Amino acid sequence: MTTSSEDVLLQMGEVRYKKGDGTLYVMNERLAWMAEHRDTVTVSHRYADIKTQKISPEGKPKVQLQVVLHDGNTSTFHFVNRQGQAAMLADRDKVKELLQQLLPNFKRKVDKDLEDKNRILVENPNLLQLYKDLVITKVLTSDEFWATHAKDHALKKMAKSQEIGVSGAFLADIKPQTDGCNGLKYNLTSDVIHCIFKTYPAVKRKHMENVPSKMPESEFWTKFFQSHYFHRDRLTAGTKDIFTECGKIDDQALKAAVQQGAGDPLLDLKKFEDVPLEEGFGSVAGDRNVVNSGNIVHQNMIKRFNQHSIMVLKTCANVNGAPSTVTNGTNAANGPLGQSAYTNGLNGKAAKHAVTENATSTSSNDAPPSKKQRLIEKIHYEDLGDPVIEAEDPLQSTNKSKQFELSKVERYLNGPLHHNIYENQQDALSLDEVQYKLVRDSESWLNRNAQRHVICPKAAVNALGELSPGGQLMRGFQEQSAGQLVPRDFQRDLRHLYLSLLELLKHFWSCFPPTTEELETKLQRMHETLQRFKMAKLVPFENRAMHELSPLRSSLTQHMNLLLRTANSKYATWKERKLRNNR
Amino acid sequence: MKLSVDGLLVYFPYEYIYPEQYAYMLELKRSLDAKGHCLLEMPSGTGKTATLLSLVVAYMIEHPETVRKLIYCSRTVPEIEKVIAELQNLMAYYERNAPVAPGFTGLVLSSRKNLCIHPEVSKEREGKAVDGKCYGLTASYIRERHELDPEVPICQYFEGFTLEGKESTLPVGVYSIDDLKEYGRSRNWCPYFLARYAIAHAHIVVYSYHYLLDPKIAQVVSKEMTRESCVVFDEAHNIDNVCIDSMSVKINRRTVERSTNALNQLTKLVQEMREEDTNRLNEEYQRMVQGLKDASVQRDTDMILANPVLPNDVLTEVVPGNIRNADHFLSFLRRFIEYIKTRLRVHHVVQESPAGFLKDVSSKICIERKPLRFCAERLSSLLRTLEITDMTEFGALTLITHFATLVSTYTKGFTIIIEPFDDKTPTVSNPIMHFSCLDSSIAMAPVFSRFQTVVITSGTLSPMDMYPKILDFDPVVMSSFTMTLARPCLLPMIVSKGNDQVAISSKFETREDTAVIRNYGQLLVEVAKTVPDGIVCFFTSYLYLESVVASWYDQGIVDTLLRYKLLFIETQDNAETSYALMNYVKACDCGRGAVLLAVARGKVSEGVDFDHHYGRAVLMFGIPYVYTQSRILKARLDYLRDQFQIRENDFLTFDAMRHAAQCVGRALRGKTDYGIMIFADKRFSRQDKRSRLPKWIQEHLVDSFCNLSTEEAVQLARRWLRRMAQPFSREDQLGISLLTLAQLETMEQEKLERQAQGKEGVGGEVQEL
Repeated sequence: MTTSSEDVLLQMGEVRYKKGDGTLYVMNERLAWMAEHRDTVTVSHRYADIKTQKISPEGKPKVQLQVVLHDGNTSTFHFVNRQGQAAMLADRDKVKELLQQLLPNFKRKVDKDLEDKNRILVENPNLLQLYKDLVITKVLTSDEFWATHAKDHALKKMAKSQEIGVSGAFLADIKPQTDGCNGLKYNLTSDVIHCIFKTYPAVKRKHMENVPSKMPESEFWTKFFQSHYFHRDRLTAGTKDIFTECGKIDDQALKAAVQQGAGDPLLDLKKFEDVPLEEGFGSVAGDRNVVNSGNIVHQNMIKRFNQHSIMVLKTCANVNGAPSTVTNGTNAANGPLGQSAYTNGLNGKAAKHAVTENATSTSSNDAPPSKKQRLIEKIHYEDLGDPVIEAEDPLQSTNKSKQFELSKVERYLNGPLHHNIYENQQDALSLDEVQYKLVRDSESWLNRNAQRHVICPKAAVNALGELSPGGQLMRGFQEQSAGQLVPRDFQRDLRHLYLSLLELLKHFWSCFPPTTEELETKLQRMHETLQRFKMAKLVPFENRAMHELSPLRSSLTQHMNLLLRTANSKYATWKERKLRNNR
Repeated sequence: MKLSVDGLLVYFPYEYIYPEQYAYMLELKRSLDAKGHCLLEMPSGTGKTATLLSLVVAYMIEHPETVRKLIYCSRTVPEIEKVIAELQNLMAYYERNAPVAPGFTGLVLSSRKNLCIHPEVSKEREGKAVDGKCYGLTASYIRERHELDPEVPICQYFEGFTLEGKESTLPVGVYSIDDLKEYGRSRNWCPYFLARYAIAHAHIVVYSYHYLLDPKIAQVVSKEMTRESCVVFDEAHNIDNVCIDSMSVKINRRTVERSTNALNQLTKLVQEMREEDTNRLNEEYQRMVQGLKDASVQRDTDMILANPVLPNDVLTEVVPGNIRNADHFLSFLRRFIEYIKTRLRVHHVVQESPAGFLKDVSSKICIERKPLRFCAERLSSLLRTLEITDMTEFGALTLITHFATLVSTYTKGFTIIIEPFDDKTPTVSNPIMHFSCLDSSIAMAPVFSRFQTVVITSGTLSPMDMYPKILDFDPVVMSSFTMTLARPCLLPMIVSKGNDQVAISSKFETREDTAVIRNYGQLLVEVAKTVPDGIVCFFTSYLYLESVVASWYDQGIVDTLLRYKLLFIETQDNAETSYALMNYVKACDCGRGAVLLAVARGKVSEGVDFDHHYGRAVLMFGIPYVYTQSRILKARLDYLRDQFQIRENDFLTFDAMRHAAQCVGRALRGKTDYGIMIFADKRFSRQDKRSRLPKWIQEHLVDSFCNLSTEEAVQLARRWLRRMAQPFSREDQLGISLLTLAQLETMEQEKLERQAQGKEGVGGEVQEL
C-alpha cells in the first residue's frame, strides 16, 4: 500500500497492464498500477528509475504508454477507456503531460550527483589522477574512493556552493525577438526567472498565487512581459494588470525605506541645509526643487531605474558578510597586484565603517559614535600621518576598541590573502604541529639579537661559492641530478605513484591505534588495498624502470618500498598481537 | 609637527605636511598680519581646513589682541561637522604637545532642528515646525503665563538654561552638535540657546553662511561679534549666489492667500484683545509714539527674524503715525496685499525697478515709501504684543512685510520681475513675483567692513579676478595653489567626439540630437567597462538628464550599462536621492560598482564627496551653463555689465566653469586618491573655457588630452588606471608632495638663501650703477 505522504496527483481508471485491468496512479515520487479489486500495488516505478516514456504513434488503434527504466526494463500501459478512442487519447495525454512535468525533476537529481563528482574531478587534477590510479586500476572501488578519499572535496563543494548573484542587466538579457509573424519571443531561462524572483519578491508572490491555479506558467510570463512593470517607460495601465499591485508594493517599500532616511549623515541631503527660514525667501532652496518638468513618464522611469538597482543590490546584501564586502571594492581597483599601504588603509576604513554600522544598529542611541567615526574618517589623510585623535572619556574608548574588532585581522593588515594558501595552512596543521612550531619559533625570538652578528656579506658569498657545484666543497659532484637522468614521463609517473601511495598510506596510518571494530576492518581493508596497489602499480613500474633505466634501477622506488615495508611490518605486528590476545 | 611659519610657531596636528599647506599658511599669515581680506584657492583634498585652523589658532595664541575670534562659515551641515572634528583634532594635539593648552572654546551653532533635545519638539522633522514649537514653549509671555498657571507647558531645558546657564560660561573645549546636545542633557540646559549665548565669547565659532550673510538672521545671531575677528568662508565658490539669495524674496499666489488668512486671523485677535484688555495695545502704541526700541535684552527667544535690511539701512526713526495703531496697520497691510494680488493678475511678464514699483504703489493705493519701510518691524512688534505662539501660520505674512521693507529700502541693485506662468508650461497660470537682488556685494559689504580679515577660500575659485569684482572688495592676498603630486593622480581629459567622429556638445542646437546622446551613452558605457567601482556623471540640468536617460533607454544603452554597473539617478526629491546615494555607496563598497547620474548645481554636486572608490571617474556631460532664458539672470547680467563692466559671456562662462570644476573636483579628495575627469563637450577645448579651470586641473590637462574621441580617452584611461593601481606608499611621496619637518626646514633654508642671494644681486647692481 502506498504511504499516505505520497499524494496521488492523478488517478486514471481503465488502464490495462499485462492483460489485467486496473488503475494507474501518478504519485509524487512514483508511478504505480493496481489491479482491479486488489489492494496491493502490482507495478511501482520510482521516477528516479525511469529513463524515458514512450507513447504509441497517433493513428494506432492501441493507445499505449510505455516507461523505459534505467536498467532497460519496460512497462507498458494500455489505456482502454470505454468511451472510445478520443477518451483513451485524452487519458493517455493527461498521464503523459503530468509525467513530462514530473520526470525532469528526478532526472536532475541523479545526474546532478554524477555531475558534481565530475566537476570535482575536473577542478582537482590531483584527485583526478588519484582516481585514475586507484579506481580505474581497481585498487579501490568507486564508492570507496568517494567515501574515504575524496570526502573532503565533496564536502567542501557542498559548503561552498555559492549563491549566484543577480546581474544588473538580467531583464535586458531577455532579448525580445520577432518570431517571424509579427509576434515577439522572449528568451526566458530558469536563471532569469530566478533573478526576477530574487529581485522582485512581489512578482514571486504573484507567481505563487496565480500559477498554476489561475493561469499556466506561460501565460503568467506573457502577462509579465506585457505589463508596465517590465516596460519601465509605460505608465500604470489601470487595474487590469495583475502586476499593478506589485508596482504598488514596491513603491510602498521604497517609500518606507526613503522615509527612514539615509543612515549616513554625510549623505542625507535633507539635512544639509541649515537655513531657519520660511519658504519664499531666496535662501530657501525648497521651492526651486519643485519646478516640475512635466514629463511624468521620464520621472517615473528614473524612479524605476533607481528602484531596480536598489533591489538588485538588496539581493546580494543578505549574502555578503561584512568582511567580504569590505575588501572587494578596492581590490577591483587595484587589480591583482599587491595592495599598497594606503589602499589597505582604505580597506580598513571601510571595514571600520561596516563594523560600526553593525555595532550601532543594536545600540539605541541616535548613533553619534558612528557619525563621529565617519567624520573622523572623512577628515583623515592617510599620507599626512596619524591624526592625534584620542577618545577623551572611557566610554568612547570602549566604543572605539569595539570598532576595531575585526573578524579577520590578517586581512585588515595584509590585504586579502590568496584563498587557497590560507585554507591549506589551516587544514594541514594540527594543533600539536602548530604548538610545536610556535615553541620553536618562540625559541628563536630570544636570540633575535644574535642575528646582528651574522657573518659579513663577503664571507657569505664565498661560502656560497664553495658550496655551489664547482666550488671547493662540491668537487666530486657531477652535474647530473636525478632530474636529468630520469626521463620526463617517468618523473610524472613517479609523482603519481607517490601521490596515490601517500593517499593510501594516510588512510592506513589514520587507523592506528585501531580501537574500534570499524577501524579494524578499515585497517584490514587498507592493508589489502596497499597490497593490491603494490601488485598493480608499483611492481609494473619497477619492472619498467629496470628495463629502461639501468643505472638507477630500484633506487627510484626505494623509498616507496620502504614506506610499504614499514606499513606491512606495522600491520604484521598488530595482527600478531591481536591473534595472541585472542588466544 | 611644530613648525615655524614666517616666525609664527604653528602646531600642525600631523606628522607630515604638504608643501602647498605650508604655502597656504604663509599667505594666510600675510593677510592676517596686514589685517586685510584674502582670496585663496587650494585644491580640494589637500587639507585646507586643517591648515587654516592650525594657522589661525596659532596666530590667535601669539597675537591675542589682533585676532580675537575665528568665525568659520561653511555651507552644509556635514561640512560644518567636519570642521569641528578637525578642530577637536587640533586641540587634542595642542593638549598633548603644547606646554600650555590654548584654553580656547570652539563650538558650532546650528538651527534648532539640529540642536533641540526637547523630547517632543525634537521629533519634528521640519525645521520650521521645530522653530514654531520651540517658540511656543519659550516665548517670554508664555513663560509669564506659566508663572500664573503651571499648566501652561514650557521647555524644561530652556528654563534650566535661564536659571543657571546664562551666568556661567561654557567650559573650555570644542563642542560639536552632538557634544552640545550631550552637555545640554547633562546640565538640563537647552543646547540651542546655550550655543547662541556662547558664541559671543567663544574663540572659534563654526556655523552656516546664513548666520553671517543673511541680515534677517545675522541681526539676531551674530550681532555681538567683535571686529577683531577672522571670518572664513569655506567652499566659497558660490558665495555670490548665497548673498543674492539672502536678499531676495519670491511671492506666489499661495503666499498671498496664506497671508490674507493670517491677516484675517490677526484682525480677529486684535478685536478680541480690544474687548478683553485694551491695555496692552495701548502700551504698544505708546512705545511706538515714544520711539522706544524694543527692550529685547531678555527677549531673545521672541525674535524669530530680524529686519531683513542691512543694519546700516535700518531706520532709527519713530514708527510713522499711520501704522502705529494695530487696526490701522492691519488695514494698511490688507491694502498692500490686495495690491500685490492685482499685480499678480498679469498676462505678460513685467519687469520694473523698485522705484517704479513704489511709485505705482503710491499712485494706486496711496501708500508711501516710509511706512512701508517699517512694515517688517511693525509686524513683529504686533505679533509679540498679541502673544502669538504658533508662528508657522504667519510665515507668509512675514514674508510680505519683509518684501515691503526691502523694496522700499533699496532702490539700486534690485529688480522686480512678475512672471504670469512658468516658461515650460505656458498654459498653466502660476504667477510669481520675484524681488531679486542683483548685486552680491550688497549683502557682503557689511561683512567686509565689519570684520578685520575675511578669508574666502575654496577648491575652485578660478578665475579668481572675478570675485573681487562681483563682491566688490580689495583683497590683500589673492593666490591659487596647485597640488604637488608624486604621481599624476588625476587624469583630466576633454572628449570632443564620439567614435563616429560626431562632435559631442550639449549646446542648444545639438542637445537633442540622437547622435550626440548616443555618443554620450557610448562614452559612459565604455568608461563603465574600463573603470572599477564608482562612476559619477553630471548633466547640465535636470531636464536634460531626464530626456537623455529616456533616450538611452530607448537606444538600449541603459541595458548595456546595467551589464557592467548598477545605475542610480539623482531625482528632484531629496529624500529619494539620499536613499539612492546610500545605495550607490553600498554598491561601491561591496565591489559591484555603480554609476550615479547627477546634475551640476544640484544638491549632490554641492555637498557629497566621492572620494576613493566612490568616484574613480567623473564625467561632465556638457558645459553647465545656467538657464540663460531666466529673466532674473538676464537682469543680473545687465546689472553686472553696467555696474562692474563684466561682459555677459565672461560671467556666464565663469559661472559654468566653476560649477564644472566643482563637479569634477568631487572625485579627488586627497593625494592618495585618484580619479579620471572627463569633460565631454567639444567646447571645453576652447581656450576661454580651458583657461578658466582651476590651476591644479589645468596643469594636468595637456594639449594632447584636449581633443579626444571616446576610444582614445578610454585607451588613455586604461593605461593610466593600470599605473594608478600600483602600490603607492608614503615613501614615494616624501620629499615631493609630502614633507617631514626636517625637509620643510631645509627647503625653507634654501628658499631663504635664494632670496638672500637675489637681494645681494640687487645690491650689487646698485653698487655698479
